[in-house]
Amino acid sequence: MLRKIPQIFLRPFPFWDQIDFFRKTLYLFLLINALILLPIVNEIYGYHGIIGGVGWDLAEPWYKMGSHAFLFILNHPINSGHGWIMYGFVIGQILALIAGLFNFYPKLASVFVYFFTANLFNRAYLVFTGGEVLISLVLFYLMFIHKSNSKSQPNEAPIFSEIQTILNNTFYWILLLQVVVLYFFSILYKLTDPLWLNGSALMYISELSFFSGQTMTYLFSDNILMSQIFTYLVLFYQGLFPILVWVKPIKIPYLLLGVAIHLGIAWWMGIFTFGITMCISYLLFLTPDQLVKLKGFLSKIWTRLFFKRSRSE
Amino acid sequence: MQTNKNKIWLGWCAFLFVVFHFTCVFFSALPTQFSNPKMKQVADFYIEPVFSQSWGMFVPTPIIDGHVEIKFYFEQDSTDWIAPTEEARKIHSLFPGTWNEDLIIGESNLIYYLNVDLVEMGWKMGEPFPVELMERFHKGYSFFKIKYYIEGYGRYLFDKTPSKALFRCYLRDVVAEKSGLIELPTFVF
Repeated sequence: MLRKIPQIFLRPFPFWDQIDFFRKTLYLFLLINALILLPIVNEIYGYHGIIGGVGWDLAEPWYKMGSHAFLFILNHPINSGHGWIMYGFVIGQILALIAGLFNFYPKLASVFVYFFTANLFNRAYLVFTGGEVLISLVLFYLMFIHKSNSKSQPNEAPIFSEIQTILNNTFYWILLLQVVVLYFFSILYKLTDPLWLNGSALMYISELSFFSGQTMTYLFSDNILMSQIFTYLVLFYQGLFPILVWVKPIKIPYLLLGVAIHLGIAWWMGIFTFGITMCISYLLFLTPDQLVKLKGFLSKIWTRLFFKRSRSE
Repeated sequence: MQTNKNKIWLGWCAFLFVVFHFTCVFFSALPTQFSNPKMKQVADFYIEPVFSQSWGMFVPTPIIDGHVEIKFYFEQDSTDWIAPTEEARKIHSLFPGTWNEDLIIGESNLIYYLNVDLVEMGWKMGEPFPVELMERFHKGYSFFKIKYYIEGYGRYLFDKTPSKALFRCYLRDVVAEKSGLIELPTFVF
């Protein structure tokens, strides 16, 4: 048993397809998100926008600030008279995402995607949710997972050097465990809250104008039974995730239940980025066979939509 | 043989790194009632700011609803009370997933921080702002956030910086079914 532990990190990296598909999906979502936010970049990322920065101590040299100096650049007072720096980060993020999507210098692209995204997210922390926190973490981990032969053709089998293989395996497991840790802490916190324990949490949340559309209000407002059913469903799902996600026979229906819950959060509660990010993170848990099936299913839908459209045109 | 041993050693290093990483995450992200402040301090040295995370999503359950209104004063003129996210709320309820979501979440977070400060100051729903505790409010979570929020919206909506502004907030506790309007002292820029 003990001998198997180092082998998990030393074996040829078997999850390239999952990582590649996950990375592309996440980049695509981030790109769409970045484009959607374009009308309000001044307000949320600008030094003189609606969000006060976390500050920058000019008395402390940057090299003594540690990672703060690299991840909170948009809080530096130099941004006050130089709005173009923020635009540079916004454009940089978009270009790095496009480069990553098209495998153009993928290693460099992944570093820049993280650098620009983390800085922008840290600047606009007030308007973001746990979804952005998860994206920042995931982008950091993804910087370490790569093929070794960047010049290889896309249709060639990926080649991994020894160190790259260890990095790939290590950060693949860190990615998976990060999602598990998220659910573990989420349920731990919820079990300390009386409104979650008595099943009324969703009823009260549905009365908040920030987090409830018409469907949410219709379903849960003044309806304690519905609230209890769905509150306990969320508790059940989150509490058992760290265990059931590893049980092969029920993994797929279980993840589909999670997708339904997170799409509900995205559409009914209006927390779109978080809901979609969680759904994307489930791609990491698929086996190669399951991934092939998913890709086939998605391409079928795509083809049907495309054909329907071209017929109607 | 030697190479193989080296390899196994590297594999163990990778495993220990994963264990170390999540041990730090564990001590850093634990709820306050379970956490050990010393362990958290040690863990945070590694965790902040790259791996900083708190997953108490919707805990404590948000129970304060509300919306913000601002009255801007410029050099020459002033405005009526304006609800800066009114339009965004309308659009967001029909089309989630647009940038309006971020503006609404921003305001909800602002109200959350304001309520935390007010509760810490001993304020009760329906009471006026405790002006005598202004100094404490300055040191709280929300004062500077609100100040930047007002200033930013002044520029966003009117393309000019306000000289001063009034800020009021309708708050409703959905559990206690109490509501009230709180107006903060004038913000001067």
